[in-house]
Amino acid sequence: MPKEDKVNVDAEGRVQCFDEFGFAIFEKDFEPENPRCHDYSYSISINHEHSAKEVGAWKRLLTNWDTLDQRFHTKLQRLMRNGVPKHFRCTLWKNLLGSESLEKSSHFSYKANLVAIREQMVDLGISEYGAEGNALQALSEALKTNNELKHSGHVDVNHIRQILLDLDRTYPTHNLYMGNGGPAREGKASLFRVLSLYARYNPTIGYCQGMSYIAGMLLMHMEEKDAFWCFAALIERQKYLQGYFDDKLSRIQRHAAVFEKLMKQRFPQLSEHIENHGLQPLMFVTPWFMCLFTNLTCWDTVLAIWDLILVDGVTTIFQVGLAIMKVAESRLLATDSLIKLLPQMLHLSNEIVQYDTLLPAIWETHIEKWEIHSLQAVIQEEKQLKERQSMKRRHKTDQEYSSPVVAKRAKHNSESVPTRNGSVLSKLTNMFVSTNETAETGGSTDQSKSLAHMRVAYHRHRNSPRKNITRRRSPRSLGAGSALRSPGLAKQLESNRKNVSPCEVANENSFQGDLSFSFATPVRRSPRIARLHGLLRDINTPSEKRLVSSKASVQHSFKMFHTPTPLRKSQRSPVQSNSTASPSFASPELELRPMQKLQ
Amino acid sequence: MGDNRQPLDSIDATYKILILGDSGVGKTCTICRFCDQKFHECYVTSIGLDCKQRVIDLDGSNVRLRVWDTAGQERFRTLTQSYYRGAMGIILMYDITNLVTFNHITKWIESIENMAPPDTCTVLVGNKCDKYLCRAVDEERGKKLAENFGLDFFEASCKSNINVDQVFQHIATKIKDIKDKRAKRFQRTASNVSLTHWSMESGSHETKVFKCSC
Repeated sequence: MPKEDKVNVDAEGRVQCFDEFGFAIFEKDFEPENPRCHDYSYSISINHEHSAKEVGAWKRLLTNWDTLDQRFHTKLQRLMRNGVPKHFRCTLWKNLLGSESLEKSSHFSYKANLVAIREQMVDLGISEYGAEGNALQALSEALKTNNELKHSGHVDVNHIRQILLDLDRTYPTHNLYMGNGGPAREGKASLFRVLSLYARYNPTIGYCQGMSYIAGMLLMHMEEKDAFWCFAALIERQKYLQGYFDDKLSRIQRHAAVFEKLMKQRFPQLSEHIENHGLQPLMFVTPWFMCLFTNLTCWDTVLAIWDLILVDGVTTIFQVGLAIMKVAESRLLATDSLIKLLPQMLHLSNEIVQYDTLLPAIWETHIEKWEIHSLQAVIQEEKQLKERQSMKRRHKTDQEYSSPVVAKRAKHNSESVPTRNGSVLSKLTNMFVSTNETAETGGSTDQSKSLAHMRVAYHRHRNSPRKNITRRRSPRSLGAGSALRSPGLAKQLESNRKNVSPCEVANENSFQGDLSFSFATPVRRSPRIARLHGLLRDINTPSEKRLVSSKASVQHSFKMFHTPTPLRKSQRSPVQSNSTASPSFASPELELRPMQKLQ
Repeated sequence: MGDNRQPLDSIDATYKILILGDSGVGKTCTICRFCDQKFHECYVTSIGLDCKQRVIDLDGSNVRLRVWDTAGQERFRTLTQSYYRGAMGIILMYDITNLVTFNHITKWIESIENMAPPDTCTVLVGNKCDKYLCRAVDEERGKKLAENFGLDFFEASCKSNINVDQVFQHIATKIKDIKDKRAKRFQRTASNVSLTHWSMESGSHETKVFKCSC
């Protein structure tokens, strides 16, 4: 096989110049591993001059930050459409992250801890500037020989080793971190200090790969100490990346699952295509989310994305992810193998991530916070259900093999035995149908058997903590967990009877229809059934009080139905004119606002 | 990406190969060297996983090697472990200039044993053997460890392109051997099954009993 042997060793010597954001532009015949795009479609310093009015507005906004009221959010967003002026970004980020308040409230002293870290470095025989091979070696010696360094207050040596390793691999083509020259040496050292101090600040998280990109980004814009507090705020605050870098990377996995669901909703064709080729969203979402999109090639886009993320938090991360999917959809659909799909997602091409293409797509994509919460609840519920089902199945098979009666029954066919994996509700309705059938054909023994089943199912249902169907006509027994069942809302619902979502009505009607159908058949004449009917009545009688099951999936679809989203464009305009506030649901409980007229 | 010189339709098999090892041992670099024939001095940290492929010639048949690059940090193991499934070959890598990465090999082997399919072919590779001046792990130690766990051992260097292709060629040959063996065994059992099936068919009552217990 012919082999072209390219050895790109001397990257630093091939740099032509640095672009406006500090990324190296190489000579034409030189190809770095992860090339950056230098053709900025929108860059604040060259193409766009902020008008004096805008600059004034920014100034006012940033100086009066503490006294701002609720309206500042819209103002900020309006201003941000034109980009954040370069010299305001540092202040804006600090204000958004609330790093100063974090610093004030924390007992952690930056200076004192820096001294402590330096002491530890000396003990280990390395320095913050010693990112070269011998430092790593000294570290491995230290790891081998003494473990007493792990005593309280010291940063885990493994974290230090990992940080040192990653210094050279963080923005390797950026002015601040490239090579071993003067500024890069200082840049890497400050990156090391921020990361190791964080590992000391929060030893349970320590250091995780991906953090270096975030800290590196912050250091490009602010002083080391500010960068540290901003970094801490970004990693620790619930609104931002809390839990992204923890020991099991649990939140990122959950978020990947949420992203998968969102994709299924918004781009059904694409998500099916991706799934067919064996590509899981977790594969490409991890680097996107964990590095906060810093691996996109166009830096002007990255900065704009960061501005948005810092304003709105985690929701924006999903928003950007979906916007990328939207822009890349046609390309991805045209690609038909995993091996081409995955690199395409990981190294998004310049055309996709250009400011002019991606940012409008991001602005057009709308995701509400509650959507993510409620999807998380749905995922959680599905997981639990799966676990429960597998447990039940195991239990059932055990039982089946142990009890001869059931085995005997299994020999007759499954007609009288309800399906195992259906909900209690479907079991019940199935039961009636099958009872009718057997009744009509005159199978009396089967009927009694299925009745016994029904009784069991009913009692099980009654005793189960998760009540799918809630009793009506007894407002006191209604669960407190659901705000939907509040009396005020019930009144509203009564008055707005016509506005009840069709899906709800349809659901209920179908269920009642099933029941009435079954009770209208000869079976009803059976005294036993009549007794059961009495039992069932209190859970199935229609009433004016609308009820939504506390199941997360039901709640989610309910909320989806009642929320104007881009998915339901028909709803958008009347709702926007009716109400200005966006719905704010706190998951998993339901908080419903007055229902909108859907016409 | 990969080597697209061969037309796709002439590919006889695709093997999934995983590269595992501590952070910074040169996993991404090895894949780049093998799949793109390139070497870069500066890489970025891999987060999550990446995948590249190359078609190689194996005893006259074209075999596509699909190589999965994984993040090395221990924390990412929860993410990457789910991709061990279906792996046919695993390249376990350490850095000969760094003893810690070598000491962690046993941990990696443990996780492979837990998560990977049982008949995966694993190769131990000591990378960066061009830096013999800073060597921290002797070749003998690597060999011994590999012997203990029944693995094959190589020392390689991506920078000087030593043994990189050989490692992949070797692992591909081994996977092929395993597959051939399995295919043979399957054929044998398949013929057995068809025989028993045929003999059972003749006796009506006993066939039923046999089927039920199945």
